[in-house]
Order: sequence, then structure tokens, then C-alpha cells
Amino acid sequence: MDKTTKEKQIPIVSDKEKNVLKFESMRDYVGKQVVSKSGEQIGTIVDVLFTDKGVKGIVVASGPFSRFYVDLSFFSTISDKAMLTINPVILLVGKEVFDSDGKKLGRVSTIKRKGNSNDLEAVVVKKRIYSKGIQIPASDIDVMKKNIILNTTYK
Amino acid sequence: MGVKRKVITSDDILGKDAVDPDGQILGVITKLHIDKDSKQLVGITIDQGFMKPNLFFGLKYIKNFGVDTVFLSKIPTEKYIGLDVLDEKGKFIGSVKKVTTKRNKVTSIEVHRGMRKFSIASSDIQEISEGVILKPNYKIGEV
Repeated sequence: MDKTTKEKQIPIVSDKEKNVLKFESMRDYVGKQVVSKSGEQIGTIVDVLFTDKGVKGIVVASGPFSRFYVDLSFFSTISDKAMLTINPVILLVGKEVFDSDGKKLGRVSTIKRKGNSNDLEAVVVKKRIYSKGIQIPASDIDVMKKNIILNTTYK
Repeated sequence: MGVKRKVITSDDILGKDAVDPDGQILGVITKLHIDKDSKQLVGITIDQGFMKPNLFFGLKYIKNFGVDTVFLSKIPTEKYIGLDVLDEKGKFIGSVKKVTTKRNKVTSIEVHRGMRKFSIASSDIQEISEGVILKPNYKIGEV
């Protein structure tokens, strides 16, 4: 529904507002695709969270069982698509990890961050679900894109 | 402590995954190319899988022969073909049809949208990785 239709269809009851065109609707956000800094489509907006002071952040669904909240400050624009200024580190889970010698160490099972920020501290890598994971500090990571390549070797 | 072997055999390379500098597994190494005259290894063929063309990588683009994988030092431009091109607001501009390079660096991309074809210089590209994001006030050129 465009804004003209919205204004036509909704009578305004307000002492202050005469024009609702300047407002954004929740419908303008929900369902929009979210694109990371690297240009990857990482999910869709499923919810918009706000307080009495305005919109605070957005809930993104990156899979059927995977949802995460992103602060509004991490969005550069929400227009045709919602464009992020970051590559969310929580999406590293499941990525394959290679050491500098080309050895496959396993997949990222969990990540450790500074609080709830997007600053990565370490990743825990497991070869199998029940195997004991190895913790790799962020300083040992060389490439963190499609998969993870380390700048050192691991046994 | 084990000693690293300096000489490896074809068995140590064939069947291994080839990984580009982004960490993406491009495919499996299926062939080794050897120069008959110099008797030197000149490159490898990577099988990208069903419906995708095989890739040839010359020896100078192979970073190292690893334990489980072979690291490449160059991202194949074919990887960018078909990627969505978005402006800084996320508006769909088109899809990458062709990539022009000079000395292994992208100089421009050819973008198609329906019947429209145009080119965008690399100076107007903000990000080219999983998708292409353009800089604000980008310019389009004729193909």
C-alpha cells in the first residue's frame, strides 16, 4: 500500500498531525530483505522493536529457526532493502575453518563476543557435534568471509 | 614433531578442495597440467560441480598446497557473474553479466537489467563480494 492510499483510506484523528505521509509504517519495514556489508542477503525483517522514544532495532530472520536483533544504528538505510553497515559475526556459526596449512579444523559451533556487540573475541570450532571444541581467538583469524581462514596452524 | 614433506604426489592434490582468498570452496581438483618440455606443473583444473564450467588455475595463482585443501591467491571473476547489483539504498540495479579485469583487478562490470545493458567502473563500486553494492552518485557508462 503506498502512502497516498494510506492517507486516503485512513481518516486522521489528531489535534497535532495533519499529514501522516511523513510517518513510516511498520509494513514498510516488515518483509524487507536485509543485506550485509559484503552484499550478502542475510535474511528478512520480521519485527520492529520500539520504545516510546522511537524505533530501537529490528529483528531479522536468517532461517526458519534463526532470529536475531540488530540495533538501528547498524543500518545505513532502509529503503528498497535494509542495508547493514556490518557483517554480523553471529552468522559465522556453521562456517568451515581452515588453518594456514590448509587443514580443515571443523565448523564454528559457537562464537564469543564482547557482550552483545559485533566485536568477535573467539570462535569455538568442532569437527563433530559431540567432539571437544577448540577455541580460536579472533587474532588468529585471517579471512572471515564465506569461510574462515586462519593465519596460523593448529594441531 | 613431524617433518613437513617438500615433495608431494598427485594423490596429495587430486580430489582436494580448492579454496579462494574469500574462503569459498570453488570445487574439487580433478586434473594436474604438466608441461611436456619443461616437465613442470603448470596448473590445475577445478571441477565446480553440476552445470558449472571447469576452472583452470595457473601455477602462479596457487598460494599453497595444504593438508586438506589447496589455497588459491586469486578470486575467479566468473564468481561475480550473476550477482545482484544494488545501489547504496538497496535498490536493484541489475545483474553482473561480464567482468573486465586488468592485471587481476576488476576495472569494470557489465550489468544487465532486462534489455538494458550498461557498465559501471570499479571506482563506483563500494563492495564486491557476496553481492555488488555501488557508491552513492555512481555513474553508468554505455556498453
